Amino acid sequence: MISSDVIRGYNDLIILSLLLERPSYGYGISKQIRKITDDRYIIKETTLYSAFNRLLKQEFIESYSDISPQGRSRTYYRISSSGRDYYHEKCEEWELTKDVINQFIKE
Amino acid sequence: MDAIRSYIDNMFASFPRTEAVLQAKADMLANMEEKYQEFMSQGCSEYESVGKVISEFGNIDELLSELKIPVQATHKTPLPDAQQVSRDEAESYIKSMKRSGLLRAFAVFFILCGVAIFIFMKAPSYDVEWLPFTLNTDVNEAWGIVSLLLMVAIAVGLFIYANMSLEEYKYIKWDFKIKANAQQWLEDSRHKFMRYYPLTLIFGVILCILAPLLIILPSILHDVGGMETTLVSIMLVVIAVAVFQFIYFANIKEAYDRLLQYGDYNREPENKVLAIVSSAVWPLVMIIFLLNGFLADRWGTAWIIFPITGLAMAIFNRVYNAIKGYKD
Repeated sequence: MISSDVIRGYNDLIILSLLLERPSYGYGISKQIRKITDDRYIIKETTLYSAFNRLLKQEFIESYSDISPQGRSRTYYRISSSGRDYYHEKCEEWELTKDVINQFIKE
Repeated sequence: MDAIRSYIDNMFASFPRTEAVLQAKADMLANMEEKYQEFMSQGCSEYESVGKVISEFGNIDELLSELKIPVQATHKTPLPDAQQVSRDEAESYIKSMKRSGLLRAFAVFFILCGVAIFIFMKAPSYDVEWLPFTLNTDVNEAWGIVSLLLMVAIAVGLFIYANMSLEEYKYIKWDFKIKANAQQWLEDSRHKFMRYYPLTLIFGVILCILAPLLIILPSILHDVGGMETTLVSIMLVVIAVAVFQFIYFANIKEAYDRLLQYGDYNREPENKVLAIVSSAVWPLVMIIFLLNGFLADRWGTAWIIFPITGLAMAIFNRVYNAIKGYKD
């Protein structure tokens, strides 16, 4: 079970990395996260939407509404160019964090 | 599915109703419904699916702190709980508006009927064959005045009572919020109401158009000699019926529009100029009507001031709003 405290800072990175591949919508992203992590990380609805809101405000992503294949109107998100830069920054930050923490991990 | 919807409604009950919030709420609900469908298709029971979806909802405070900040900056003070209107309150407000609408409609109806009786009694002492008594000018004039004053007195009483009964809903003016569960119900019931509301308007307008025909047609067809005043009073009664239902249904519509803050009711300042003008004009018109009748004894024609003023006020209203809209 992943502690939400630890992963909090990296929800943005996870979402951005998925949007980097293709634009998506709320449930699409949460489904993908569940699948990629093999059910080990299930993002909460509220976590997802506060991340969307935060990323929108910083203009790292933009939203637009479109019709889903089922014919319903849906809010989709796509990454912006500053969002890509931010994603790469976060990746570097993670590399550093990982290295630092690993120094303290004993077998 | 309803369980998920009401769960979301409850979760968002304390949120300000901004566009961003409503959008997030709708999106989250759609996501959760899709998730629910997927659990169901995987063979989970309905109960289990709802439970899983809700357990994956998360903590609402997380979203609250994220969404609320820009909202509070625009909304000077957060509204206290007292100014949130629940479904029960909305329902009882509409009920009271209906009742006071009925009272107001009756009040105006009585005034118009009073005028009608007055004009009828003022009729010259011709013999109206179908009446069981003969009209005697002096006695009947006195009775006419008495009944007019009586009707006006009853109307004033009704007006005061109608306004007093709405006193407790004073807070439903401008600065209030509808609780989430009341919103949907209100929109649905307004929708139902609006289906037959235009019919009441059409009916009223038809009555108003037909009413003058009551005078015109008989005059064309044959000599009505001396009967005009009687016809005028019958016409007034017909108009009174139309006005009665205009007022009654307009009150119900106002109740819905106020609660949902539709149309004119989402703007802060009430249209004070028009309210002041019409509150000054109508009593003045009444005075002119009475003076014209009592002093100049022109009862047969004095009533014409009412429809003329009504039209003039309508024109003034339109022009004023047009100019104001242009300035804005």
